[in-house]
Amino acid sequence: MPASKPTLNSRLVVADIDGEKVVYDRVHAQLHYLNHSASLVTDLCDGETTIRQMAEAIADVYEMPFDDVRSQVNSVVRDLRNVGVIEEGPSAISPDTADDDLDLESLVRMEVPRTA
Amino acid sequence: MDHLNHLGWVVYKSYEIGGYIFGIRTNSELAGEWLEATLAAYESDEEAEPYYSLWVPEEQKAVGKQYHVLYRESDDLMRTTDPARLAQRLLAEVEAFTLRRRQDGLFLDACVVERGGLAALVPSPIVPFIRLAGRRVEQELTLPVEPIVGVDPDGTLFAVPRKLHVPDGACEDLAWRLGIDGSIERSEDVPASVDAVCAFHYDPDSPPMMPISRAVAVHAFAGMALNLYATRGQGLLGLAKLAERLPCYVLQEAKPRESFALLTSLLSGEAGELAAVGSGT
Repeated sequence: MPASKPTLNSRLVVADIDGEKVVYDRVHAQLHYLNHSASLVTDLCDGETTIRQMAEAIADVYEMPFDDVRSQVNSVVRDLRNVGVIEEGPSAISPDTADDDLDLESLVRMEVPRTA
Repeated sequence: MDHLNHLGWVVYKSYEIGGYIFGIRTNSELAGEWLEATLAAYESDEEAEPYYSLWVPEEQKAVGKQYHVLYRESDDLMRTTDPARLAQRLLAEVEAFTLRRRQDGLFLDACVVERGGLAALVPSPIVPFIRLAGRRVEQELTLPVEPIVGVDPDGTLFAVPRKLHVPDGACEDLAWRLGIDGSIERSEDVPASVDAVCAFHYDPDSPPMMPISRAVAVHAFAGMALNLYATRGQGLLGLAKLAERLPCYVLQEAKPRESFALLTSLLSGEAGELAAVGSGT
């Protein structure tokens, strides 16, 4: 089974605010608030990155145990998928064949909240 | 609205505006004539339950203040000695029925409260709520007449452009018909920007007022938008710009007097201390 590579739902209007997000689903007329964690995961939902890669990048930047982070990322992805904020990416492929050139770590660093 | 039934309503009218059918009643034949002249374009043959009630004193007393009152269902929306302001509020209320489909800005069920040069964006239902704290409220705070404020894509606030087909000078006309001078300074209602944003969410287990993140505030006020759908969500971006760099709070108090005191302190420079804690910047 190919690894999940979620992507942000294209029908959303997204307001980025201090590392958090407010999103509006134009089809279902629903508003969602995304805290720092959910916002960070959402930023990595580009349709190219597997959930495992997201967890690896975040664990590396935050210097946290990978297993803990993976569990949290899984939970956030599940919640975001349930409310329709993210959907499955167009090109799901095996995690072993993921794009090695993707600099996830720097992407995460950019998205780390800059306020204490 | 049963508990208002004893107030002697004599005129009942039905209107259709923006696809909504609703009734307005008044205890005054003169105010009824004003309704007929002002909202003639929207009269409906379909009988509707009173949604608004316009109560005016029957006789002008030589001494003492006499209040004119606007109710929405059983809620006391506004009490004022100036019928023109009451008329302005009623027209703003019924104009709101048209806003859900409009795209000339994001329209929020929110308004600006001011004190000593500082202004805060607050949910409109807070205003009649804190008015219950007594006459001191309007002595210390500048409260708006109109309950809806617009936000443009740059995050600038503006008064709702009037698009209802009502005669020029309709607000003053009510005062004139009731034999009282009235004056409207409509342009003063909405400053282009505010100094703070204050949402409301009753939570007895939390502090009565606390800082919140801007995103939480934007989420709260976006939930008060009448036409986010009509703007295809784009209004959200203007709201986010409005909140940029502003300290944001949530009022979680259930008592009018305490809420008034908290809002007053917010607009008295004490907000600065809260802002330092809350904004994270």
